[in-house]
Amino acid sequence: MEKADFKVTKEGTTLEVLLGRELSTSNAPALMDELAKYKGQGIEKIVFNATGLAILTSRGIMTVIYAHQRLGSTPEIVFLNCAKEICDVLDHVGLTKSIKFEDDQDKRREYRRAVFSDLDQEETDRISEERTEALDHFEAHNDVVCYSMKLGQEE
Amino acid sequence: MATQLHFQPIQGRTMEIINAILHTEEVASATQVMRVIYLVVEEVVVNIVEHAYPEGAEGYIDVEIERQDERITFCFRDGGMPFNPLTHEPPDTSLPIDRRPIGGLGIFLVIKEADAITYDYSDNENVLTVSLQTNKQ
Repeated sequence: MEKADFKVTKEGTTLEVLLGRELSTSNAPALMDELAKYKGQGIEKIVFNATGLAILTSRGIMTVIYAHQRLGSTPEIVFLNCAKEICDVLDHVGLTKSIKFEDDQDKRREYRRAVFSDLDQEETDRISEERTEALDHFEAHNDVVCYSMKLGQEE
Repeated sequence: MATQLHFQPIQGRTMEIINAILHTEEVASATQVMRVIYLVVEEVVVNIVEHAYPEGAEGYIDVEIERQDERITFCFRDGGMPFNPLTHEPPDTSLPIDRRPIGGLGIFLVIKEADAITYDYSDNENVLTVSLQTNKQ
């Protein structure tokens, strides 16, 4: 039951890994498999976009070490928009000296837009589902036929 | 309040066990330290599932979660091989990233993040108790 809530994109010799809310045992093995596909491709830099990252466990840290050691070219590791709590975890294990931390406001805004647009869609779907259920319930308990139409739709 | 959970078998059920613990009432009421709780629960459960029992053995994990005032306590019990994580040699965190072994950080992180941690071996069980303050900022 692994969640693949990350996205890996390659631009030249740089890999950008867009992380979700967590990098843990639930998704780190899948990310490791994904990163393994770039072995021997001369990757010089891996940017972990941690704008939305709230939970980092040892499995997640293993993935970062793996990315640096096993892709074949000991790429530079960058963490983007890293929350203090995540920096603290990396500090506990002594990795802050080996990682470059950067802040990118554009990426932060981009991430928020993506998250909020997802939430809007989820909210829209939920309301739509509730309306359908209410309509079905009303139809089942009344001697009428109910139907719904989108605006501009012909009968 | 306290909740007791028993998991058996445990092989291949790591996420299910973690999620069951995280969905208890005690954990839900400790939102301020959710990140640390997640980390502690994952590290301990993964360690027991992957290392406590010999291959092929049907192991179990008992977890008691207790919430008292501004503290949440997790007591993990397993019937696996005796293993005291508190005497386990810590990883060398001074090594640069290119010389780091891939792994061995889990229990070290639990010890770093816990406010109190004890280990006991009694009645053929490993008993690891981890307490966290829930009023941290």
